[in-house]
Amino acid sequence: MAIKFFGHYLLDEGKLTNEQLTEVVEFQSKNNLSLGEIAIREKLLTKKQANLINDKQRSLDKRFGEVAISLELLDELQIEKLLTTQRAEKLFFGDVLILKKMITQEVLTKELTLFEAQQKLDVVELEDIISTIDKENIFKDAISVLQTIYSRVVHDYIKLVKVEKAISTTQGILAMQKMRGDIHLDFAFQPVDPVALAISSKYLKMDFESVDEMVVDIISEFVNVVLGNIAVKFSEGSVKVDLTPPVLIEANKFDTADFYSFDFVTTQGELRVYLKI
Amino acid sequence: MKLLIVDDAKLIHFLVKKILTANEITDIEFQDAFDGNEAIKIAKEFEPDLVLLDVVMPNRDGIATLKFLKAENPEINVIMVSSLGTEDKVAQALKLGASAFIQKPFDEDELCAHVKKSFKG
Repeated sequence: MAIKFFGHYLLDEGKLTNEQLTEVVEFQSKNNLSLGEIAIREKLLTKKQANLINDKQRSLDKRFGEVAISLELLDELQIEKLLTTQRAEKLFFGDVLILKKMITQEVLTKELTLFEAQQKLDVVELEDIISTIDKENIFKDAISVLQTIYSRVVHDYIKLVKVEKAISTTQGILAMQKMRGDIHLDFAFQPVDPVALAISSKYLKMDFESVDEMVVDIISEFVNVVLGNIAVKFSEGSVKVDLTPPVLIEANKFDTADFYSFDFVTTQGELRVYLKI
Repeated sequence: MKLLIVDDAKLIHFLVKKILTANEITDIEFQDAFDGNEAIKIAKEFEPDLVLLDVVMPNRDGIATLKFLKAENPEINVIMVSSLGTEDKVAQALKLGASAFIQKPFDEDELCAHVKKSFKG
């Protein structure tokens, strides 16, 4: 049981090679233009103005259009036209497969139908597992807050793909923090290095090329932010809790007993969260 | 102006300084403390105009530190900066005299607005 991207599904089914998958993703990334890029092409904005909007957008956590209007660089009608153009020009994964003659239209339609049916089954299965192991929705709330904070900080896609009783750890930094009080929750976070670097780069708005002391510090703080916000969500139901400071643990010394592991995928790679009530 | 940053995460010290400098909030003398006990010790000598204080820290947490700082100097200006913005923590901090509670992750404009307001006040 696992939820995947359509590309990974095709890979597993032997309809696509790893090289083709990379080629399609890179083609999409190069050719699907952002609103700022379209606005520059249409001569509605200069490059400098688009960069200004992008910078503000990141720091304010608002949409491109909202920031452009608030800075009086574009009006609502122009934003609407840009969005329509972007939607019309967008190349979906399947479009690129056809364009590059990697698959026929007939096979694409058939595989998409099979993939969607499989994905619906997997979502139901994941929700069933979580509700069986957690009657009070603590895990569900924790996951939902993690996904919100991750998307807000990294501006990236994050999706839960697997839940199981934790058996062993994977590689990478492992930061852990505990919630105590009305609810006892242990939360451990283990991103693969590219995800750790993506979180760090977005957090400090500067590039990190390797996992150094600062990156480790950022991951600890990220865990603190996530668990703090989980506590805030719980406090809406009059629950009172405190947090211990986050600590780093060597992956091979982490005791997985009584923990459940939650695997997520992002466009940067995988990350795993261990939860124990 | 003197600003004391109290947080066990080094990156918060770096981030706050980076944000304030990028937003041209300059002429600030910074001091760093990484837990509550260190903050109390530094505050006595440094006499900050503003303290940015985390809640979840080793040794002495932010709420206990705030209580101590206010008892020593009721006029000291403290803004809590923490992810643990639960209703009871925010209420407790404000009751003890914190002038604001900024929830992490914070955005640049929010932080700058609070710092500017504190320095003007």
